[in-house]
Amino acid sequence: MPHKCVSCSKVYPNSSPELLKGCTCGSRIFLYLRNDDVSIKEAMDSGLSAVIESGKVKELARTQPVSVELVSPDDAEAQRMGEYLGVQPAANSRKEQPAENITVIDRGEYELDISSLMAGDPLVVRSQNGIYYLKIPSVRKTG
Amino acid sequence: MSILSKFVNWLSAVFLRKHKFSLGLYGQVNAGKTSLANRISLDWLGEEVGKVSEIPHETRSVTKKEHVIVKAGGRTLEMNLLDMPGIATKIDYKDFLRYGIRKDAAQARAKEATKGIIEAIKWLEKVDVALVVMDSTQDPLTQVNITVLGNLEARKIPVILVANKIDDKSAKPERVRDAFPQYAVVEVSALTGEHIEKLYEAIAKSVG
Repeated sequence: MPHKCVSCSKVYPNSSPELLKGCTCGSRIFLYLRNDDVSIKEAMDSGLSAVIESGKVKELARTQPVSVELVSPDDAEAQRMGEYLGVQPAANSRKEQPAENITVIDRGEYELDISSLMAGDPLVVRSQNGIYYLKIPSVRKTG
Repeated sequence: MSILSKFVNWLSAVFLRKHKFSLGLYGQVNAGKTSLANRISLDWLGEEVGKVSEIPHETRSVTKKEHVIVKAGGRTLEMNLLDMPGIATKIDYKDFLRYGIRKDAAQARAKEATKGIIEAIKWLEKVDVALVVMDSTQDPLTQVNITVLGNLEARKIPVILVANKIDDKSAKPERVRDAFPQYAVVEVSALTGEHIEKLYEAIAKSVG
């Protein structure tokens, strides 16, 4: 996944040393793009600029490079990112936590949230097609 | 249980100083948990607990050996030995294909391994003492090790860290000590049995 400098739009691949040191233009803020065809301008228009300009990201970027992930270019997503980054969230927004503790990526391929499972959270399985399955009660008797 | 057998058990507990408890072996995949369980079981029961394999997730369900009588630290201990499936955050059937396992079988293995991890976590409720087994040839500071130790601590389950595979030339058991200085660490080789008596002493100490 490429990272794009928000200042000069230079694109760096995932393991580039610039992502740890900062861009050659001096900026330390990167946009992490899942969707390669989203341009910096579109991202800025989507409200991301408000997140970056609000101070917290810039403050963080003074000591270390910061990558901002843009999943979809809309205001709601920018707000979510803002909240994730500790930037003042909108009044009606709330932090999103994944509901699932087991993700079925493909047949025979699973991801487990060990912390959640060990904490005794209810078993929530997210299937390949995004359907959630809840096991109630998820604690069965052992012995 | 009849009144007579209860009385016999009480006499055994009082006069033979026998301590009964469940010992759970936790850790990452291929840390050597089953090899260690086999070593303990062979030493005291003369039989193995389970099959050991280089293929990850060989142990996919909790395996028990009950009434294992161990004499260590001047005491007699009676324990249920619980060999747990290896804990992992990701299971991918493709990892099994290179061992010559067919795709269907590898996918089934991955499913069983996932269920095994959930089973191992549920069994935490029944464990009195935990051996957290780590592979001394690998970096011990992993998400799984840290999460497992943190959870055992939160549950107030006594923990003994086992730095396993010290027979391997690349083993660096000191990394386990350095990473987790707050825990008792015993360096062993489940394969050769080296320092295994120190582990029994540590177990005897941990049951109070």
